[in-house]
Amino acid sequence: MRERLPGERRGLGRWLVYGSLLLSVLFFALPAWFALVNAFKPLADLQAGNVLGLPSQWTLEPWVEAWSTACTGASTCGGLSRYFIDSLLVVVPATVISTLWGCFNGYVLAKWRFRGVDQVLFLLMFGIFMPAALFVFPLSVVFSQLNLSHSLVGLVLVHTLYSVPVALYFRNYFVGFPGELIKAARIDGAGLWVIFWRVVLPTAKPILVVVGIMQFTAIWNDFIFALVLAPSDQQLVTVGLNNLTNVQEDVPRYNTYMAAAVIAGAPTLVLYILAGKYFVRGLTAGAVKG
Amino acid sequence: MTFPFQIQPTPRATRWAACALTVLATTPLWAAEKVEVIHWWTSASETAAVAKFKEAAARRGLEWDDLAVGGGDSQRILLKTRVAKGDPPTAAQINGAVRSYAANPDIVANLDAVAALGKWDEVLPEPVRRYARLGTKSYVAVPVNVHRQNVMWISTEAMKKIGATAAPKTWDEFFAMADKAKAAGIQPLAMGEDIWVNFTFMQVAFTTHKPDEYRKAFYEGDDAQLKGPGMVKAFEVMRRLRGYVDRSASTRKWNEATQMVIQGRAFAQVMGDWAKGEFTVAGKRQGADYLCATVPGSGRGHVFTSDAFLFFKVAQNAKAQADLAQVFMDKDAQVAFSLAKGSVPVRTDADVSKFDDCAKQSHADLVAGGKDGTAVATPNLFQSPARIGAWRDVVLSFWNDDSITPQQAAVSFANAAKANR
Amino acid sequence: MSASSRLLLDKWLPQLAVSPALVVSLVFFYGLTIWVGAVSFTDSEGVVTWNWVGWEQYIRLFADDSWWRSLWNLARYLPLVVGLPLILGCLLAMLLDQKVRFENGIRTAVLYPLALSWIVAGTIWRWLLTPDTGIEKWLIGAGFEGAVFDWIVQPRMSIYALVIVAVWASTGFVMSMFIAGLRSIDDSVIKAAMIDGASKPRIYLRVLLPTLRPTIFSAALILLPAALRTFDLVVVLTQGGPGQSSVLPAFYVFDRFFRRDQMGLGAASAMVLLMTCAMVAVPYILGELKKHRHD
Repeated sequence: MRERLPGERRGLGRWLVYGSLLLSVLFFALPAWFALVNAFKPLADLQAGNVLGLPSQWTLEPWVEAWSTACTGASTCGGLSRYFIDSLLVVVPATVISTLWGCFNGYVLAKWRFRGVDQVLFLLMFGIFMPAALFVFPLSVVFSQLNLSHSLVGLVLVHTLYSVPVALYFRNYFVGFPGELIKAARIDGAGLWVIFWRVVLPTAKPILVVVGIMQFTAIWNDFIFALVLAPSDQQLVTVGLNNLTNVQEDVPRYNTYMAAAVIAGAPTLVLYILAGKYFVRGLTAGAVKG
Repeated sequence: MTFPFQIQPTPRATRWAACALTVLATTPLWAAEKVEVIHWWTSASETAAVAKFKEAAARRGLEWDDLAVGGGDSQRILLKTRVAKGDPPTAAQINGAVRSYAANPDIVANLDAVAALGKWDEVLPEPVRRYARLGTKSYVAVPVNVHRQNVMWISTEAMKKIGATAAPKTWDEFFAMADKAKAAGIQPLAMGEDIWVNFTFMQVAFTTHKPDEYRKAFYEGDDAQLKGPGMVKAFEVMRRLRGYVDRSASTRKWNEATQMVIQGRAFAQVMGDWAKGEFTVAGKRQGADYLCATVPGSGRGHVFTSDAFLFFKVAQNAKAQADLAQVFMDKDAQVAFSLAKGSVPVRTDADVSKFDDCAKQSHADLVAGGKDGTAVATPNLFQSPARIGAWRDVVLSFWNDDSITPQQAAVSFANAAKANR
Repeated sequence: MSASSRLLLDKWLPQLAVSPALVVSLVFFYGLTIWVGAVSFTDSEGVVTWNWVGWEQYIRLFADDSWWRSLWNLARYLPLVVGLPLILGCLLAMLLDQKVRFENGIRTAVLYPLALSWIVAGTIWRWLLTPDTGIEKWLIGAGFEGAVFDWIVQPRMSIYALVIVAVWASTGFVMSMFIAGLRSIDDSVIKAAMIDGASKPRIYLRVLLPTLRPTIFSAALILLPAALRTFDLVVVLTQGGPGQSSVLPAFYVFDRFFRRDQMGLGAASAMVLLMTCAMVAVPYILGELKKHRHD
């Protein structure tokens, strides 16, 4: 980490810096403020037009409703709690598997010269540019042939498969990784696997954290795969939230919707707040070496 | 619970037909027959309504496996996927033509035997019968209710403020009231997002065409009729209505627009009879706090949509499927369902004594209109989604762009029908 | 194990090791694309029917005003949602590089949108952007008479309402990348510039920015495909409205595929969208590969 430039303590420049930062923070934090503050309001408050101010009286009711009593389906009035658990059951394994697999592929692509490496890279890179939503249709057919459409295992698998291009992030990281250690290990007669587990993986922590966070977020927030491929009795949280906010027949209960939205976003939000430091550090460590 | 092992229906799935009813069921009596139903009813009142059918199904010994997906879009995607997988549900809620399914006899079930048994031909109004066959020769769907679409909800508080005593009977009367409302600082017409603009257009078009002309244009897609004077007039009315709608309409859900009428901030809203639930929840009384009138110029004409269940061919459980179809057509179940949902039963012989005046009127107009032709189904029930979508594009382009004349819009409207079968 | 076979295994081991990933990408990315491509030559409507009609769907597609409209919308949308986060993210990173207080808090505040799904973000923003419930109403209430902020309901501006939310969602990530880039720059570069008496903004623009070029490229590589695929945002925020004013190609594809029962047309538009992506992606990827060969 380098020394920063000596900053002026006072003066116009300083005010400019703080002023622009304050404006940006206001812009970025506005929706969060909006959602949080409205999740503590009674509905009457909102209907009276108080949308940006503090609640006239604080209430926890919207939270209770969103978590455990709101109706998200004809037979399910248990709020988001069940969806939440099912989501975790999919997201955690899918994140771990896809990240590790991507790490392994990235290392092979970066450190082992072989014929066809460019072609493989090309295929993977182009994969990033493809809209996954289109695949959902043929995919479901494939899944029913493989009998995977009746459990959450199928969803774990599909997220793992469509995460193959994350190998590129790892590859970019490993390209800048000193080759001496690997060379030394090779001379000692260690094979590809051993080197990966003993030498590569321990040094890849920063990038593992970055990609892990990215994967967790992407899979947690996925909607279309969850909608089409999840078994009917185990829907995920994005679908639950959609069911809740798309209710067409009642007075829109925005306070409950906002609470539900915060709940649905909570795991990924917590992850960012806790691991934000590692996130930036991981990026520093070379995830962005183009 | 889904069994982990599911017998995949083969392409040449066992055909079930009339014989299924006469042959002794081979399933053991103690096993409840499972039926899987996909629908998009997720709100509290809808949930209560679906429960009525569930109870009726349970009484017949059916085990109802419920799959509710919020938002029609999501439900359609799910259904399409399930059909493509060769794993269709027993029945799925539709409202709109699902021509591509109906025209595919390998996919949909044939309900003629159940229909004959239940005398559907006698108890369903004509336009509904047409809909239940989805353009084929056989019954493939079971309509359960009718929602009236050409309703104008009017705030009596706003009426008092502008000195109006009765609901407007013609568009000219409406515009006169709208001007007064505007002057009094009341929003004359509460409007929701784009789909409701299109919805309003369809109700307007019903008032500028005779019922036969309407059918000729919107069911048969007759080119001359589509760009005829009735259509031009409909667009002219829309252009005038535009001046009485506020900016924020395009991000408003329909029920938020209804709230404007409930609170007296808006004079009127054009919306189907499902809006009644909003007034009821808000503790408003029909006749005292709000009026449920027909759209100006409709008279007793009835434009309706209907929720129906499309039945799919499934390898096993032919008997359960027939039973489920009978549940949906059950007179008492339909009444209980509609009471909870705010629609009216589709059966003309249903007992509507428990319903409110607005619903009684709707049912009476439906029964009468089924006989004299003044009841028409919304075009969505017969046209392909492609054509409906193309029409909507024309209506909305016109709505958002003052430089398009009503004549040009009518021509575009006819062309859209030509380009999309 | 004989020495020769071991050599052989060693030689082929890397290919073996990546082959599962390769097979997956071939089948699940490319195989399914070919399937969609095949559907685009059929007259499929609500369900897939293998009834070949040649280029008919493509001809219909390019005769459709809505399709052209969506391409025009994309042309306005894409440069902004790639460019603005790059500029904003870079500026914010440079500001945060000034030894400011609360740096962590500020970073978190800018980064958190990335954690939210479009469904959540869109619901909140739709309410905020709507004139009579959101920012505009609040401004008028706060005494700014005649304040107008109604992009989301103006056919001419609705696409820019999408831009606001997309920029809000992705700027934090870009900023993080730039912070990382700045921190990895060697100190001596700056010291040298300081000795030359260059002012601070000048140092940032002339000395540091050029060294951040790889960062800019990586950020663009993440932003661009995401922007091209934008469709859930459209679904949640505007549904393509008012009218057709915020329909983007991916939304058009989705709309035809799932809502209008025009699978053949949807597949055709999907293929055109893919080709558009390819025109952007292929030169970029080839350039990247060439660069790596010199590593």
